[in-house]
Amino acid sequence: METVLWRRSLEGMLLLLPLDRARPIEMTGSAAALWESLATPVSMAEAAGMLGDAHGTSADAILADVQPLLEEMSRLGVVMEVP
Amino acid sequence: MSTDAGTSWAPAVAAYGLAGARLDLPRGPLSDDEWRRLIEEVQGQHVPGLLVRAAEDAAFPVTPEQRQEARDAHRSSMWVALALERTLLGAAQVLTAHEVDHRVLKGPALAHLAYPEPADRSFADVDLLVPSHSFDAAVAALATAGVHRRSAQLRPDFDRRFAKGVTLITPDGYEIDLHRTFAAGPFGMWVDLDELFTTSSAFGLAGVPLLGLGPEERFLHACYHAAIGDAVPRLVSVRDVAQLLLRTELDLGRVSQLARTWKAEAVVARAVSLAWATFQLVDDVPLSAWALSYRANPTEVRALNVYVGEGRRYTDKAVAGLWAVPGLRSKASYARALLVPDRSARPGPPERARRLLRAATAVGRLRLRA
Repeated sequence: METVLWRRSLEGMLLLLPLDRARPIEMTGSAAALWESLATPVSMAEAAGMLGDAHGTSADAILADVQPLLEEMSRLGVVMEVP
Repeated sequence: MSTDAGTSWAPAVAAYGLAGARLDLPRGPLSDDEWRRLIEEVQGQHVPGLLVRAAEDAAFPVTPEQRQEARDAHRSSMWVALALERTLLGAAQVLTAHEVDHRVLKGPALAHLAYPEPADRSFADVDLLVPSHSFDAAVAALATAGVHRRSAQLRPDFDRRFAKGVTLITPDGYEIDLHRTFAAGPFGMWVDLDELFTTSSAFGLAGVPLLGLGPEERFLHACYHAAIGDAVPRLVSVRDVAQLLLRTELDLGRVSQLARTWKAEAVVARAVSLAWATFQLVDDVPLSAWALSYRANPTEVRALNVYVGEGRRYTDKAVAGLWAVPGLRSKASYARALLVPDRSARPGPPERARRLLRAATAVGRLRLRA
């Protein structure tokens, strides 16, 4: 995402530094995979679908988990909602 | 399994991933003392990413605790890199707003342009190159963002005409090295500085487009840094030379032509030979074969001698730069700035006396050698 500097560690952790924050944010596991999948804008259902594919489960089953995760990422300034 | 107390595994770590490197990694986890020493070394040499890569690939055997320590060291270096990239973006945006052309040098550019993952290449400061004619404008522009010089200019116009560059400090304490050329002294003065802005390599940070040097200029700069930058080059600088030569596409004809024009063949030969020796590389490529057989001429030897070895001093480089300054009037301006700097740039009396003495003895030595 623009306005965020980031590094992917070799063991799969993401370090994100939004330009307006003092300290980096660390993400691992599904959160890291979800953030990386948002390089191009997608709907919440599409994001859940991509994450579901990666974990061998249905989008519907994880949609409820994806929504609060995206809200938290938005609060941290590492994703933004686009029309 | 442990090893001799004197063995350093850091060069083998720094060579990790280079095809043809003959340095062996340990066959078993290191003892606590050896491991502690290695962690300190890889951090100081800016290669913690390569240690983690070797450990994750099971090429460097580690205990679970050591794996975590390596990851922690690497994570710290990545935090620093991100903070520096933010500093870089701020500086680049100021220069762009003031219409000052610039190129990103060294760590941040190499991390994004030369290595498979930016996390492989750690760095500890920000380096930017600006054209000579814009140098003073660049310093003034950055001052509007609260970035100040670490030391005063020797005389008005000195930086723009003669200096390698200037170190700037940001309000949050980070260093920006603003370069005019690649090195102090003669080798820096022989670089065709206008040529550096005729090519570029694009990369982006946080959606902001940035420009690094063109591939061949980037390789040559890596050679200057490894061969004549530090008395003892960091392993990461030596790795950069091998990485760029072996893992990126270079027009070797253009490399040779630029090196000849800039009178830098001895620098390139030294840097490539250093990389081949440090990492015991067995795969010869045309440039390494040339470098290993290169014999510097007496002028090159004399120029190299002011840069290399533990006993080198800035004064020697500065005085040697006099050879390379073109024209008598310019030589006079350069010498005057070194010997009689502006009051604001003068150190206190005892230090000034020491520096004058050093400059005088250096001039004397050069005359004796000439």
